[in-house]
Amino acid sequence: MGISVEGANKSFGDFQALDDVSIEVPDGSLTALLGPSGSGKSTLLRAIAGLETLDTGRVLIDGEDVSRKPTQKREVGFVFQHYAAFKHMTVYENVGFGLKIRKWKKDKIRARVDELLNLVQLPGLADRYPSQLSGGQRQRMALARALAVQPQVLLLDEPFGALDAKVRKDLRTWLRNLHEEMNVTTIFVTHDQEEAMDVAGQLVVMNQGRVEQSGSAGDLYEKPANEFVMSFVGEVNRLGDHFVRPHDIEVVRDKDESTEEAMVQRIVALGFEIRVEFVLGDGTEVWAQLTRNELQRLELREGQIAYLRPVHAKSFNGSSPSNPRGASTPHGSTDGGDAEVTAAA
Amino acid sequence: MVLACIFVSVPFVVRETVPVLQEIGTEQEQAAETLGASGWQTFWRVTLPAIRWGVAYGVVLCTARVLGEFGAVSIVSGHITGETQTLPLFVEQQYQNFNLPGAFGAAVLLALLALVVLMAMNLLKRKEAA
Repeated sequence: MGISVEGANKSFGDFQALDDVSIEVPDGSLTALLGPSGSGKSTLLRAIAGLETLDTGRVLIDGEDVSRKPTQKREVGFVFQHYAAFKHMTVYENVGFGLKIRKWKKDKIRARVDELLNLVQLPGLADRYPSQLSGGQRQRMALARALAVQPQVLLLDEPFGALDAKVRKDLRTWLRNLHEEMNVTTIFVTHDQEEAMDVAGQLVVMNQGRVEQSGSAGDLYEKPANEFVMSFVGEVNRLGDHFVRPHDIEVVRDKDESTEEAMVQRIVALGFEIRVEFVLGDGTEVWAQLTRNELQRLELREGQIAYLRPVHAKSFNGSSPSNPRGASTPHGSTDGGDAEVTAAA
Repeated sequence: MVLACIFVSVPFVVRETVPVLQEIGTEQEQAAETLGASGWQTFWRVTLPAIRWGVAYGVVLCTARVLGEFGAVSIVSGHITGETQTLPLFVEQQYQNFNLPGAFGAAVLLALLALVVLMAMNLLKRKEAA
């Protein structure tokens, strides 16, 4: 079931959480809402679930306007960052809760709960209480509970935010596989761009209550609509009016008209990747990402002079994301300039 | 008498329940809502069970307070033996009437009741903490 939000506005007192937000989530997709904290991504998700009411704007699920429908009737599955497990119920009762509310027969509930516990890889833990489970297990239980009632859409609010790095990585892969299997339209909220790119097919980048850009991970990385998106989905250097990714800086030993002189300030080895920090003549600090082989070939040492050639530098015609109103770029569009220049500054 | 007792004791239940409610937050209720539970269903199946020990502890505290109530009941209820009297009032009355055995008997009963309430409180406190 496709989801669309049209012209959503929501404020909490003086704080504008959503500022004329419109998004389109295709049927069966796995979409990430990505943004820093306070960007309105959770508010948008909660509005889709009906846990927040919009000041103005509409939410449509499968083409039907559900803006006035209470949460209970929207048939959404919602997973909270802190699990929201019913602590006084066993895993079995937690997962079966929605079915019991729907007055399913006991044996049918048992069959369905068993099926789901297998799906989320928690068989045999039905009689435990949430306090006896690890964080990852609790979150999978919460997911089973949300899926039990066969929701039209699945909404996940920073589902892995409270888990440690290793478990988070495992659950990401697992969620992607689960989505492929179930094919339920899924939206998940995260502030971690790597997580969003890893899991989701479509990303919506939000900032200060507005949608900055939406598209595939590749689109956002290659054709960011503005400075905010460019710096949020990856590392970036600023060279005057231009922005360039650290791996798009070519380091050479001989100068020509397209290079810029720089001094090597620090060399940081991060395994295969090497981070080389330079300082330019005008004091600008820039870093380049090199491989171990490149570094050996260039024989760079700290304090040495080298020449930088930025490839794929981008400028955004002075549009600044720190300006809350101006230069709002509608999603999907890449205008506002992704003019490529070879020499910067 | 009942009104007077409610007036002096209900704050105990509130004081015990409100922190528990604040601690559990509203996420569980919201989760219940997304699973299709109505307001009443959410209250009976999620909220009340989650705060049950807090409420029970408040009720016991309430009982303890009411058992020993003297002033409020004495002023408001009219002090009628066997109808609108609490145990401490009864003790006082018997004592004033020079019925010492009666007064002591009632006092011992009061002490025993206090012990029972104390034990119940300890038991619930442990449950609540768990």
